[in-house]
Amino acid sequence: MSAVSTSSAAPARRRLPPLTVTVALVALAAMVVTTFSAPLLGLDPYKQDLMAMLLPPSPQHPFGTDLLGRDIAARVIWGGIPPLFVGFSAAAAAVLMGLGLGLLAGYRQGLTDSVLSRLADIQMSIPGLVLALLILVLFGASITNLIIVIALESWTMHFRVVRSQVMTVRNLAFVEAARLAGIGEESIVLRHILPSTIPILAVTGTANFSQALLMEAALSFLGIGVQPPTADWGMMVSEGQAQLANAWWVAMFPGIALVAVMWCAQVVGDWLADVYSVRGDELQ
Amino acid sequence: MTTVSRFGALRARLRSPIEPAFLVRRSLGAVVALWGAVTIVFLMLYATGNPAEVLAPETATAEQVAELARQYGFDQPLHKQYLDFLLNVTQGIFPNSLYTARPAFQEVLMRVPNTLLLGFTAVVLGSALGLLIGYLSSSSQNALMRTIPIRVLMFVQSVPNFFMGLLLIYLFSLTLRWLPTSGFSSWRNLILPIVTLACYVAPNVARLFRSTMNETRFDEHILTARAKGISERAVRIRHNAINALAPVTTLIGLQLGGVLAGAVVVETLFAYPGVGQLLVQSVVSRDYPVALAAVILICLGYNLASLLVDILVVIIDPRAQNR
Repeated sequence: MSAVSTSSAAPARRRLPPLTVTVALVALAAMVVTTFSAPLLGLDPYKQDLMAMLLPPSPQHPFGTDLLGRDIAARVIWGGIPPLFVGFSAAAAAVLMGLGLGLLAGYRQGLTDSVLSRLADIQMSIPGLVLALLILVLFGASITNLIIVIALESWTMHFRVVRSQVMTVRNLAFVEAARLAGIGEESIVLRHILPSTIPILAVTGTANFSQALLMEAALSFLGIGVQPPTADWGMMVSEGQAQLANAWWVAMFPGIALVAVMWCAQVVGDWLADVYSVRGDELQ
Repeated sequence: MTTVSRFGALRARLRSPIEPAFLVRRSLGAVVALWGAVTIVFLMLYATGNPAEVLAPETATAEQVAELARQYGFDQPLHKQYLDFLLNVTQGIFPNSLYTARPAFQEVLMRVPNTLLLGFTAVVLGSALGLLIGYLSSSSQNALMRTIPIRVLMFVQSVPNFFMGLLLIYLFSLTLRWLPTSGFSSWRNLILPIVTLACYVAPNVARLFRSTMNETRFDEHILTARAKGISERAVRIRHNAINALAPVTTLIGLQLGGVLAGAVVVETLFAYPGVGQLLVQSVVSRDYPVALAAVILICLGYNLASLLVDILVVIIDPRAQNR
């Protein structure tokens, strides 16, 4: 806020990320690679074995088995595909939408800006999960609909930061110079203004990824996201709730997988925010 | 001379800090937002095809569907229907629940006090915890108190609320057998849902409170207070912490949507009879009238609550209304 930066608030601009961040990055990469190589590992998340119902963790089934005798370790690996895929695609779609509309509103200003900003306000006045529940039940729960719903819910976050960044940058001398040099509007926006929004978008994009992942998990937990028998972390936690008293492992391992991904994404996001000195409250 | 100026100062102090222009602007914004929300819901309903078919029971005959369409004006031209829809919504008129056959709006309204109790307590407790830990992490004399509580809280932040609730059930209900797992028969049922929801509110509050306090720690008014010889503790609390409250309150307002979403999940997890549980039940059982009424009432509650929080921010820091 103030121009004076103090020793405690100064952004830590380091060449190498701190140890925690490195660990989080490596862990996140490892989890993403393991999850998306699930089809190659030869694990079957659907194979039922009614002789092996609700077995506790053992060398043969490291995470135990569920009510239908399915191997939970296999299901945890496969179960990461929907949340990670939805989280990434929804965040990417929301970033693109927020960037496009933010550039338009920030550069054009005037009526375009008022209309888009009002739209964003209205969008933000509907709690995301509630709207998602309604849309998914009206149009059916599929992975595509999940991505659309979550992207529609979160574009405003990127829109607002891009818009305010563009409003500052468009009046700076170098943009003025580009304009005087007779460069077209499109190329001013794309080549001179857009690059300055990328660091902020890295921060909001990471925050959006974990939000989207969380929303996918919550919707699947409520039974309105990914449908059985597809393996999905949120749904597996919900399945395990009924067996919590006698088989804790059914819910615990998918839940731990979720926490691990969320924690890594958050550590990376905090680090990016620190490096580019974006404050947390601007991301809401 | 001095008495007059003192009197003036007193009057200035007692005058409400809220400007009417701000109130009008903010309330209009809330009304527009609500109108937008209702319009989006209306459009959603239409995008699926015939709303009468959506709102009628699955077993309804073609005549029954036509009757429902006539009753609620779905056979009218679209703009007329839209006006009727707005009019009905403002009066709380929705078709009857497909399962209990009672007016949908009343069904939802009955659940409101439970959700308010859960949400309000969780926000207050979560904010109090967040403020305490944020304060400790920025101002404690003890290095351990400065680092450990905030680290724990930041880890708590990465636990999805349904899994947090599940862990609490596993620990306190199933292992220690201290608290009931679900339902709502006594105040003991409230403890775990409130703690789960408070765990969502506290981390962000603590982090923003800490960073705001750290950023303003060397501001001039604080240096002045210190130069006057006020004790370190008083400087921290009266000059540093108090001034960091406004941004934190704004953040709490921005998080209300998350709290509501959290309430939907937590109520379902603990089988707590609130609006959120009703919404999920009605959505899963395709009881559209109740789902519609719940969505619209939740939007109303959310907008009212964020309006109140914004007014609270202005009371804490009157400069906020001119931004």
